Formats: sequence, C-alpha cells, structure tokens
Amino acid sequence: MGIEFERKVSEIFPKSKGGTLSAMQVSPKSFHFGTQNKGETVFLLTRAAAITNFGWIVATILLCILPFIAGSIITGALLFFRIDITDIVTRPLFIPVTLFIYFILVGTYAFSAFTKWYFNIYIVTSERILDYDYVPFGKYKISEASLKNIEDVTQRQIGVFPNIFNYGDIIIQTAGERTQFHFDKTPNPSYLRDKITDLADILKQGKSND
Amino acid sequence: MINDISGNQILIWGVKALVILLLVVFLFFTFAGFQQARLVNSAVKTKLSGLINLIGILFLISIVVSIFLVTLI
Repeated sequence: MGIEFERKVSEIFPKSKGGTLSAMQVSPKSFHFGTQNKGETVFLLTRAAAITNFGWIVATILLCILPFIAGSIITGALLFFRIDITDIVTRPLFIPVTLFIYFILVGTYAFSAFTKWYFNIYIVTSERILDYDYVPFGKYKISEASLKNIEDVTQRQIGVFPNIFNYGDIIIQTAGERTQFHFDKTPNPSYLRDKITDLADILKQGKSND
Repeated sequence: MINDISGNQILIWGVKALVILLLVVFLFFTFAGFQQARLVNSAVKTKLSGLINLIGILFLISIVVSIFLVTLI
C-alpha cells in the first residue's frame, strides 16, 4: 500500500494550502494532534467557515462601543429623574475600574467565541477522521472513525447564507459504533466530500488488493 | 460610632460586596474554561497554542486585579 498509496494521495492533495487561521487547511505542516500515530499524515484540517464568526465579531464591536453610548443615555436619564450619584461616580477609580471589568467581560466573551470556532475542528488523516467537539465552559468530545469504515458521504447546504458563502454540512455514514459524523458549516463542502470519498476509496482498494 | 456610617456608605459597600462575589464566580468559571481550553490545546497543537494559553492566563490575572481594584473604590 506504501508507494502506490502515496502516489494516489499526492494526486488528491497536490500541495499544502491554508494558514493557521484558515477554515480549511490542506496538508497542514505545523499541526499535530495528541493521539497522532507514527507515520499518520494529516491531509485535511477544517473548521466552520470564517463567515460564521460574523455574529460574535459584530456583537463584540457593538459591546465595545456600548459604554460610550450608554454613558450619555444613563447621564441623561439620571438628570431627567433628578437622581444624584455624584458621590459614587466622583470616587477615584470608579469609572476606570467599571470600564476595566466591563471590557474583561467583553474580552472573555470574544475569546471564548474565538476558541469555540478555533478548536471545533474536523481532521482527515491517512487513517481516520476525527471530530473535535468543543464548547467553552461546557463540553469537550472527540470522536473518530477509520477511513475504511466510511460508507457514505453526504453534503448539505441549506439556507441563503450557506449558498451565498459556499459553506455547508458534511454527513459521514460509517460502519462503526458511531454511525454518523457531522462536519458542520465547513467551507467548500463539495471539495471536502470529494476528497474524503476519494481517500476512503483508495484505502478500501488497498485493503481489497492486500 | 455606628452613627458615623451613613445609609449611602452601606449601599456602596453592599454593591461592592455583590460585585466582588460576582467576580469571584466569574473567576471560577473562567478558570474552569481556561483549564478546558488547555486540555484541548494540548490535544491539538497549532501555531497559536502558546498564544491562546497566554491570553487565558492574562484574563485570569485581569479578573484577580479587578477584584482588588473594586475594594479600592
């Protein structure tokens, strides 16, 4: 299976593509995972399409602007209702500390949203597929299936945004214990589906030739 | 001596205590999240692994600093 397998794989993945922050990396060079076997090569590393980060990025920008807008609204409301909080607000450090705590909260929200995107990865190696499911402050789950066990790969793009920005879900049926794998919101799902199927076929051919 | 403490001051200390309590709870959850992120970070090694760990530590330090700052107001 060695040289012939490598030749066929080099036809499927001719060159390395994508940077550290790319949603899809082909043959990533500086990537390793904890349970990687000796001689096991990572062919594809994918995560949700970059456009899916739009929501939390916009929310973070709005939350950063909010104190400056809210400050004038609160001041206006206090003047209107004739509530005097001069004693509290004029205390040294009150406004800087309040803003500091506020921006820590905003920063934590943005950072956890980023790590959720960054660590929710799907890996296709020369032996298996791996699904890293990570929710900050919540769950962390890793599932894997052998490429030889892949029976069917389905691509699904539902909705306006997935069709405009070309991202979608990949559903992989396997013969293993866990029968379905979902690669959610991956960029270029057609490419991914095609490559996974090709790779599984090569391995199955190698197995039947052995 | 009890007459020297005004209602306003009691309110301020009450709010301070509440904010500190909330920050301690927040610190606990952030620490749990950070430990979880470290676990994933060790399972998946990328170029950004070190940077993500560093940012997590900075957040934890910032929360501890903010707890002290609240007591100073």
